[in-house]
Amino acid sequence: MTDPLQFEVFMRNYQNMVYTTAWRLLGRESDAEDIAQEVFLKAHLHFNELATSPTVGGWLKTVTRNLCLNHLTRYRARWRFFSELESPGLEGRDQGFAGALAARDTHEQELDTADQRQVLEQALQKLPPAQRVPLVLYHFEDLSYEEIAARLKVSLGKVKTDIHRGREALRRKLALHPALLN
Amino acid sequence: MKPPLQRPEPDWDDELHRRLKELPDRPAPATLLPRVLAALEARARVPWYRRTWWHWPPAAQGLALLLASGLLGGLLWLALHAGELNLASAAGQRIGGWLAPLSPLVSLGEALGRVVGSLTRQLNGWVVGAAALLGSLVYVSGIGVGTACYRLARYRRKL
Repeated sequence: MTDPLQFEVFMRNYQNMVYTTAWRLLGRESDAEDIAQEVFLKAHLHFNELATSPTVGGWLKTVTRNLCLNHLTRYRARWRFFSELESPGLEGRDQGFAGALAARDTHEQELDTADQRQVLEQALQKLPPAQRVPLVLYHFEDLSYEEIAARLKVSLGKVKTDIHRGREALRRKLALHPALLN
Repeated sequence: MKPPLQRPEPDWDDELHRRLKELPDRPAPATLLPRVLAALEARARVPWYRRTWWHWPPAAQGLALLLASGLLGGLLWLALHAGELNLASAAGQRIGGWLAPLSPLVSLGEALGRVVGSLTRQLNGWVVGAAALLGSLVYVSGIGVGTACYRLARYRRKL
């Protein structure tokens, strides 16, 4: 029988990590919260084993990642449709975002560490899903190109291209903040 | 046209990787914990026999498994030995007795079957096929409309 207080403490310890993983992959707060809820409901079913497991963090991350990828696969048609729809406007949106950052930069020459992180996080979230998802899987989830291709059911070449484009997009955005690149 | 895949500045990739890894976790919304606890409470209120078999108490799981195996084994044995034991006719009579209250329904089914049979004999095969196709299309579109309504309702609830 699971102790509710113990489970609450467990949740408080891991909820930020689970939520952040889901949010970075899905790019939507409401979806990330739904997935995080699902992850903890699954964790509750196995709580007796998880509570004492040293690999609980890895278990939670894997379950979160799998649920997110299932979610993305389920809505793939819509995801693709909108990502393609957004593509022509993306440059404009980038410029809008860049413009906002540039305007801010004229007021603040120096960014502190927290701001730098916020800029990077925002830049990552502004990437289209087709670039953000493989980039997050590679850099945050430590998956190889091959694993990402297999998981997303796309070619290895596409994964490499998308990650390359994502990095380039980040670099262009961050170029507006020399402090971030130094 | 394929984009260039070569990486002229690998330092940048490493630097980006390092900076991304340093990003702190985002705070989970304050509603997450209450939502999960409420969902757990709701789940705990569901009686065990309404959950999936995997979540039944072990004793109930064992008993259900035993009963299902016994029933299946018994039916299989009866099917194999009914002739030897001359049970077929007796069993038929007994089952007929059990089903007697359902005889009006059986008659109705038979009547419907006769009507459908007579119609299919009189109508052209193409007409029957078209009617079957139309019925299938209506059924499929019903499922489609139902799914769309469900998703719309779910999406609006999320908003």
